[in-house]
Amino acid sequence: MRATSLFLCLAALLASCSWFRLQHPLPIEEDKTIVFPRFHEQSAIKVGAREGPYELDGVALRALVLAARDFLPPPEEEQPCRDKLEAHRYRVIRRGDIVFVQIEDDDEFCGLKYLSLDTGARYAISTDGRILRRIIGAEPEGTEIPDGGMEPDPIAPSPAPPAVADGGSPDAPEDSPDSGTVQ
Amino acid sequence: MPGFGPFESHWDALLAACPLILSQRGANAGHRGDMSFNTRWRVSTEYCAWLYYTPDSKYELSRLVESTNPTPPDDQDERGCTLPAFVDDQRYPANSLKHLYVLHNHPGTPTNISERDITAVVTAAKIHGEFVETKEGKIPISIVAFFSRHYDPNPTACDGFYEYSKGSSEVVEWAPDQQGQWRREKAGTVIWENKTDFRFVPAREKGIP
Repeated sequence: MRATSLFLCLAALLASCSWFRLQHPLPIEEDKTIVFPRFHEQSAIKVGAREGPYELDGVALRALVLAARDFLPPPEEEQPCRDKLEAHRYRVIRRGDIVFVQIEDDDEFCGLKYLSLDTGARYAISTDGRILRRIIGAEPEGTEIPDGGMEPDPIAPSPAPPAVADGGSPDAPEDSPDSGTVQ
Repeated sequence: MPGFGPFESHWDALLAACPLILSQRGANAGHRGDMSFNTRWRVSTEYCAWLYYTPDSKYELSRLVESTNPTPPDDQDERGCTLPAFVDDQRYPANSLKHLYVLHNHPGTPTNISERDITAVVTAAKIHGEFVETKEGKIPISIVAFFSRHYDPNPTACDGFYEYSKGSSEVVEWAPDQQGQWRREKAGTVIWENKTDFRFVPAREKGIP
């Protein structure tokens, strides 16, 4: 399957599945002992970077679907560009029984009208389909030290390079509210 | 930004912007080991702005933006900031402003420049170019993340910032020493694989395994 075809299938799957609209948000276990790998510490294998097939197993695909389904608003007919599935980039790292997913805004997709700083999210999803942890924004580094105190049991980052899926090709930009002196 | 600036040097502007941004509501949650950090973190906010260079050879700060990016509806942990790509300063002709620094805060420490911050510089360089000619010389388009190491006793104190400039192989941490002199320290390595793809290997923060 060509890279773009793979992505289009994923997009169609997410957009058309009725279950994508059902349970939102999804239950999150918030296991704060899980340490996320750094998604840019190693080179990613980018879908579409070369000819030939890319294979994604069902466990990784489900993790991607769960993360996107949790993070993005349910699809609507008049979807703002920045809320679209295609307006994000996705990186995946599998480590043992956990699939780590990073979702980032793809500012080019919506016409380079904005710069996204620390937007997006990271997910740790078990291979049986549970969201173990979700991080939004630039959370402080290191393992979690809750106010009550808790010793971490970190999970080491994966040595394997992440897979990356882009958001497809740009479409027409849209208007969004500005902030005064920055437009 | 009305009532702020203009500045004669980019360094003066950065040092003035740091406490300004960290004094905004929710801009500083302190250190993750501090008492009540989690409570403050849940309601913390990132702010962002442009530091730009005017035809008058001055440095100015745009209005601050507080993120309105959509997040999961149950999530109180909204973070991030969405900065419009262009500054509109009615005192100057369109396209006469030079966009120099993307400024924002990271509400919690320890922190570093994030991978998404580096991606934002890549995007900014695509829009505005990689360098700005100023009276101080040629300055690369850059991103800065301000931070405060503690919430108490002064929640608005600027303890330093991380800086990354487009094309550089280093992320730098700037912080004042005990004498108040600002010192730079390498905070990570950026390896460029092509014009847009990079790897980021942060230096280990003190106290983080």
